[in-house]
Amino acid sequence: MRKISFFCLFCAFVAQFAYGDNNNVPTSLSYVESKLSGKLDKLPGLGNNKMLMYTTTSDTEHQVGTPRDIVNTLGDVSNGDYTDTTGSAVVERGAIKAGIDAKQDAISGTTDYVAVYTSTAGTLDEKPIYGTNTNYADALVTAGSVNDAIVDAVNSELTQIDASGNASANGMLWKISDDITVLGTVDNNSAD
Amino acid sequence: MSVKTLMFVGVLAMVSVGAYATGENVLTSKGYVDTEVGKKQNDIGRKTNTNTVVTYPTTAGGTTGERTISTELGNDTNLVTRGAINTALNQKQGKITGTNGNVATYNAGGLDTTGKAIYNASGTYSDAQKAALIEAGNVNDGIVNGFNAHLTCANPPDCTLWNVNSLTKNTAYVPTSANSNN
Repeated sequence: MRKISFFCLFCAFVAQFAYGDNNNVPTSLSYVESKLSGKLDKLPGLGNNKMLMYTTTSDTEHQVGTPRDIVNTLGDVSNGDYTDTTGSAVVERGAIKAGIDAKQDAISGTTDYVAVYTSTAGTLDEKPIYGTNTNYADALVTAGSVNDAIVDAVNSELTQIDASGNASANGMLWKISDDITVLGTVDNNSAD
Repeated sequence: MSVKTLMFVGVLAMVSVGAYATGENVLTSKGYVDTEVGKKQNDIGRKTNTNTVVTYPTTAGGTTGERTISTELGNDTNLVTRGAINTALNQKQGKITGTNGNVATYNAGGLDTTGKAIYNASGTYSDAQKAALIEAGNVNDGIVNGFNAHLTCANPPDCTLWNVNSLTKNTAYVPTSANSNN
């Protein structure tokens, strides 16, 4: 009876192969293992702060490589800590933004104005430079404009005159004009 | 052997296998294995660069992609390390801070946090103020005040005579001095 049973099973297998339907074809352990050998091993449970890396080791193609850290900080950037210049971790967007936010924004201002500090870090104010075509009493002043102002002041205050009191380049006398209140070509905004 | 005998043997085999009630001893088919294995990811392979990240394939089950992690910034699609970002940020200007209202000036290390003061018309003409920059209006006032202090009317209100006063440096040209003659 036992021989007959094995024979019947064999016949059944042969009959199933004859149908060509793999769903009815038993398979072997070695076949299963050969099919699984080309598949990736289960990933380790390392959490979502690790990146999936390729392996670089031969004969471990069914595995992944050493994971890479994902970090949420560049360092304590509030204290200017950018000391980790060799770290291999990859950084989250928020950490990069925090690092960039600690740096100076692009500086813009009026052409030829001087930058002055403010009480707010990262913010600059500006100050004009006096020009002869402008009337900035509170502008900074160039050496040339200072020179012009002195010349204008002298010429305005002291006038060379003749004996009749008329202006004359050949006059032997000088008239002092007590009208140096505004240096006309320099700063018409000067209050005096 | 009759068909009945064959069916009987088959049923016995199924019953004996089912009695284990666990998959470990349940026979399965090649088709099932092929189907299930076909759902799994093939080996993703090996790279020579230890900085190669795995990315998804473009089609399900296809070849995985890769992205390189670089140790310095560049104009490409690579990822970068924290070290690379910090190295780049270390080369950038921190937020500028300095004495409020002062002009920004350089020092050996970059920007000087004190800067250069601007002459304060309400302050004293101290040594610190001497080193300050000055506004055009204060220069103007200084010149006016200097002349007025240097030349004073000797017989007001006619002012046909004038005194020429000797001045001490830095004393008469104080921009904050009032112009007493006008």
